[in-house]
Amino acid sequence: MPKRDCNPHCLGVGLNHRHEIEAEIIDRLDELDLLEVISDNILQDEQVGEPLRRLMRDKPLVLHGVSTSLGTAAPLDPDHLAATLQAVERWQPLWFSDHIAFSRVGELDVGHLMPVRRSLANQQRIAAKIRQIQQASATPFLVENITYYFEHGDEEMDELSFVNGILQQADCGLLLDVNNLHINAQNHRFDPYEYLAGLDLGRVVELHLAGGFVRDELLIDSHGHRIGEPVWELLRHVCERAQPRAIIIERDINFDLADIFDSVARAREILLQTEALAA
Amino acid sequence: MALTTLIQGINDAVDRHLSPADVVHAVRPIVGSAMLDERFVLECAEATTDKAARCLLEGAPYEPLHIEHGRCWRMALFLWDPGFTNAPHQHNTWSVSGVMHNRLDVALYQRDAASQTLNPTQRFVAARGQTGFLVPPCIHALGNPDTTAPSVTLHVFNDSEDRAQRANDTLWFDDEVNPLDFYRDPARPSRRNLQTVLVLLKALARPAPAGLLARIFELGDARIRLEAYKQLVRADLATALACGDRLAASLGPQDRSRFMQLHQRLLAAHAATAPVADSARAEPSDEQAEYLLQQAVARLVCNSGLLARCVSEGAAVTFGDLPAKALALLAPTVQRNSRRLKILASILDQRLMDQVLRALPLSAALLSPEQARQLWRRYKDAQVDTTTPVVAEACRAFCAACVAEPGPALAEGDPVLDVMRYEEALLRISDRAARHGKSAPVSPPYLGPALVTNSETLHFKRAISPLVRTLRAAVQQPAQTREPALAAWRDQAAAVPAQDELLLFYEAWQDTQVRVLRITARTLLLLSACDGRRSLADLPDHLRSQGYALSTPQALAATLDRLAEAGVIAPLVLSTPSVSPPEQDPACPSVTAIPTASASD
Repeated sequence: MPKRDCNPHCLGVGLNHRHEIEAEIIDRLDELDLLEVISDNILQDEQVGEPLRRLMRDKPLVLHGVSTSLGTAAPLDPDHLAATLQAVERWQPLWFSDHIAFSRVGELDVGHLMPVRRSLANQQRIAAKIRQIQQASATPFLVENITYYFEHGDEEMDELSFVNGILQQADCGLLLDVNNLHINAQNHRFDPYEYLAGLDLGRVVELHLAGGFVRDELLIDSHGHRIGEPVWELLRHVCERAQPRAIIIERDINFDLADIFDSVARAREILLQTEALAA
Repeated sequence: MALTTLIQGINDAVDRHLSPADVVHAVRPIVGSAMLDERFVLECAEATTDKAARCLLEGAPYEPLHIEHGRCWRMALFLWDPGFTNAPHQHNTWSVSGVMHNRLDVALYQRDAASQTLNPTQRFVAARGQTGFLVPPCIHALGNPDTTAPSVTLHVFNDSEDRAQRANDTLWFDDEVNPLDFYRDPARPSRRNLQTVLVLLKALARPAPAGLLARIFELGDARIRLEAYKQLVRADLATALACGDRLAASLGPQDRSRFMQLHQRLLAAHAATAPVADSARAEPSDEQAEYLLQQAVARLVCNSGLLARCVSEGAAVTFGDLPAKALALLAPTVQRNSRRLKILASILDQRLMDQVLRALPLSAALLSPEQARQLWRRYKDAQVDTTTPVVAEACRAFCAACVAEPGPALAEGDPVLDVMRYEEALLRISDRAARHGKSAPVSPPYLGPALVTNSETLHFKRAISPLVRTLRAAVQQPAQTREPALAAWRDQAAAVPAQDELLLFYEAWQDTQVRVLRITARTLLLLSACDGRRSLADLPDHLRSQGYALSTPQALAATLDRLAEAGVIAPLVLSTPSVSPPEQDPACPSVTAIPTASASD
């Protein structure tokens, strides 16, 4: 195993903000190093409640989007982009992010992150959009790998080449969702460790962890179940090779607080053990 | 989209008796979806040609594209010559507009009451496909920023209910210009409309139907005939040749010579390019094909019925209109992933159902999981080819479907149906307010009281409001006492006799909480008359004309005071009106704004 330098800039481990457990987050704020907030939920400033405002002021903050729809074969929605950039300007997060996916096509909002056909043209189009966002904001912008349950009939490359190409062409950071990687490896039968060996880990800025469940032989990303052991193992493997600045535990349903905060502690322990977190 | 679909959509919005701001927000997306649709353009052209024929051949009065007399709105196409800009004018009724062709320059103004001058406040250019709206009062001037090509816009205008008031619906600030003069000779606007539809038909991807172009040719003057003829060359050469001969025969020697040169050139160009043009139309760009693929896949995972059909009959049948390039991408995706797509569609469906039930906590508390599943299944099964992935929209559609036809899961008249409608109305009002914001309180030159932006009235079969209050208390109880409390509520609800209840759902402009008020039909009528343009002195006569006993302005003022106290009515601003105000009764007391009291339902 190659020896790495300890990352002095690592912030630690945090949670994605959910209104349902806002009170508990406030109560146990000391156990969190940072907070991730869904940018789409704070686009209208008047809808941001005072408790969340306090949280965003008091804790290191990163923003995460789910509806930029970078992968749609059409220009970015200028209104959504402007609103997102305004929120970034207002709240000054350390970085903001969204997914390599499409979720909106014209008036149709799927409400789900859909896989983009892995073609060179789509890769270039997504990279161009990321560059457009980066040029419009001084705050770094990251992209995240998604869970995909099907592949298109005419894929021109594998997921690894698609993601690496986007990162390189856009010169942006990666939000690596370790659970998504595990799920995709299971569902599409590839070796996640080989994937990581080929991934440009130097671009990893943030990691996401979550749990899933099995449905009809498919592993489904739920953000509502315990994080599986294979995901923890993958996390350790990544932390031994990359220098993430933050880990975020994602939980959107089934708010088992003991499990959530245990996961925060376990992720921090892995960061410390792998020296990814500055002592 | 069919022209009738747009008309029905606007009627539906108008029938909901919304405030002007809510009507335009309901109408705007329908206009946006319709105006670039080829079918809609063709049907507009047909309707316009029919009306022009009646006017020009039978002497019928001029009519715009559509007038809905009973609902007080009209729809018109406007042609903007290159570089033309109209004079600033004020709209005193709501309106929705869209750019169907080219661009439109929009300049907004504010009137300075003291100096009686107009001050420009904003200026922008709307591109093809963009829609806009205005909530009265709005002063603007519109124009075509392009100095070489015409623009076409579609407008939906609200007409004042009172015919006598309609002359004041639009007020022009340039004394020398009276656009209504243009309409004095019905032939002029009719022919202008034929020019307008020719601009739209020319922009279509494929040639317009030859029969339609030939009819326009018959009705037109030389200029219209020339344009119809040019388009006929693309659509039907034989008809074009016949029309060309007739046009040539009607021209003087000099014009005929020029026309014949054009005639020869167009025929040669058509012969050279027609096959290329046909093949180019059939083939979208790679990006368009990708977009169409994404759209089709998105529709499939949002609609398990459509997906099942696509899997069984094949993508080529289900998506028969899809260009070959997009179909070549879609077909193998569906073929190879039918099982996985079904799983994904099922997961998204379950997720949507959970979100809908979470958004309707009172209804969900009254439904057993099995009842909820049955109702949801019934609702989804009826959705053959529509997708409702947005939770608020799904809530609305789900509640509407359950109320319309609950099926075997619920007994007819089960109180949960009223609760569903009640919750859905709350949700809809707050969602609407969140999406569109609220208009500022009324401002000059309004004369009288005006409704707040977000409001809606609903009839219920039983007195639901006190029941909802006790249901909410039951739902909020701890788990161990919740079930007995819900059972007690069911008994209580069953004992309430069926009795019509009229509720006003609204969001007071001062805060963000959706409120509910029990009102009478008379109060509803009073509120609908509070459009800002009627003074308090006008209201008694209005109510009397609708069959209610004559009230004094003072009595109505007292009612309005109570409504203002609840936050339903924005404060009345009495100012010097800028344009020809109706007389106001000096003895009539004004309505005073009172801060909203605490929320009540």
